[in-house]
Amino acid sequence: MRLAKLGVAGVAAAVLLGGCVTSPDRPPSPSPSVPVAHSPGQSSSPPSAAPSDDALRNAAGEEVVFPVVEIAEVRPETIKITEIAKVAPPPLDQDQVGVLALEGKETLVWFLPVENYSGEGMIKSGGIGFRTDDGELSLFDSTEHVASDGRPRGIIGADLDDDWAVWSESSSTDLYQSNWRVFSQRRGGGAPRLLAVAEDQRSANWETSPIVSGDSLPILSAGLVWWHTAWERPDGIFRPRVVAVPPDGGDVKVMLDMASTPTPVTGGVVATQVVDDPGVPVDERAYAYHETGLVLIDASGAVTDLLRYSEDVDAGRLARNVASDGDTVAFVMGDDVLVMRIDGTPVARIPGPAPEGREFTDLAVCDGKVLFTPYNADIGGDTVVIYDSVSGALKTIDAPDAFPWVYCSDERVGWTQAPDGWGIVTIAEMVTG
Amino acid sequence: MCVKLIIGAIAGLLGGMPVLAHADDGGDDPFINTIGDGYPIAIDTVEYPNGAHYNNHPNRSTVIGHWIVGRGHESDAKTLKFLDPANELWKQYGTKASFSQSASSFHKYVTTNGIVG
Repeated sequence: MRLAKLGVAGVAAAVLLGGCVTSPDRPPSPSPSVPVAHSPGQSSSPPSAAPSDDALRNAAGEEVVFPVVEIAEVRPETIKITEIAKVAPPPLDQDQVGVLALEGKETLVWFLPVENYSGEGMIKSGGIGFRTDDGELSLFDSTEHVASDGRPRGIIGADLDDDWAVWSESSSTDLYQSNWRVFSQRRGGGAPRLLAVAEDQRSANWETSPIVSGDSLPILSAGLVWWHTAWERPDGIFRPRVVAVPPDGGDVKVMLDMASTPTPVTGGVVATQVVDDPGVPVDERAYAYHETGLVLIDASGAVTDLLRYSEDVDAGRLARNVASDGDTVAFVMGDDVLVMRIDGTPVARIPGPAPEGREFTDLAVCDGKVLFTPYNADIGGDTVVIYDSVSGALKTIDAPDAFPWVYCSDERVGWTQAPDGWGIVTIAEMVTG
Repeated sequence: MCVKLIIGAIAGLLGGMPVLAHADDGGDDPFINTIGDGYPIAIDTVEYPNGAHYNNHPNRSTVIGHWIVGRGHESDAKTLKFLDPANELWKQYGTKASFSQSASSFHKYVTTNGIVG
């Protein structure tokens, strides 16, 4: 089993990378390039010019500059919201439930038998289904024995639209490999149908597929189910590719090789494009590729540039945590959240980190609104930020002990708080205006 | 060879409960002691669905077991510094090659499996 060695190899590489250390480390020098955020009510520094976006070009090769929207300077309105439901983990001696996705007024959840909380391995397979606002679960038929690799599986990602639920499952309990399976089911009922398996993207030489760009997370857009996967090229090297298939099944179509992390937009998806590092010997190519920008892929497979990075771009200035919906795309770049339209129009740069070193990580975008929770692993988050990219309104919701995971639909928002260390998702009406 | 691997149960030696760098008892702490001796330290972490995850690891509905490397700490020993070998595979979700976290908030990730000095 060749891939089983990857985890050990990864750790060994990291250990060697670490090499000798000295103790204690010096405190870091202050960086003049990091924007400083201010708490509401604090006096803010004089407005400064927008940071240079010289690493970013649009499809025409023109420099893209994002207008700065300072959280402190616009004094975001802290709002009361109308709570609809809370998805709280049951006591830890019971089976667990967690939120996967919101759509309209529906909540899609994962279900996990409590036996899996006794150690590192998966003991029993989990499941997926809907949860009513009153807490009633309606689980789909089990897929445990469909395309089984002999090991229990859990849900690793899911999406909903008006007609379909789609999700991926994996037996992996590490961050290096995944035998993903993608399923769909009509929202109105029926049975799960298997759409694709990881084995389709590799030769028989391998028992599992490596993870090359995070988990394979299916999304629904333009009438198709899209996801990225590790794909074994003819030269034996694994790279990411974006594939798609109709939700009722059919041939899986390669939408773009050397691309990853598709997220939904009108007519298709936004994805990250990558290229091999030039001149690297075959046996050293495992991670020898880099990102070149964001592209749009439509349902026919046509690809157009959205953003291009310069050749010498710093790794800290690449799009991370990309989220999108309709004509709006948001991502984290460096410390900041950037928002743009799929026609290339830059909308906003919200500088980070937030007060007390809270960073921007997980994003959700619905109906032009961008949702995120500034988060510091040591002290958690304390607010949820909702930026309306159409009106420009910036609003916050008080959320003590927040985790970074956020969710939204056109009608609802969801965020995570963990006063006891376990995430509770509050679902509320979408904020308007 | 400057990498020190004592494949053994530091947690066991300490009565089953791994200790991870508390400022007040740093003298008995394997993390602080190993770093102080000039070596990195291997750490076997576990993250549970719905529980906290570090360094932007994914909130899957599967348990995640993951080894990382302790490489240093701040002078007061309250903040620890780590290397994450999964960075290249998860960087598009914000997983960083190196990150820092307080010992007190990181402790929960090693209560299942412990650490290896």
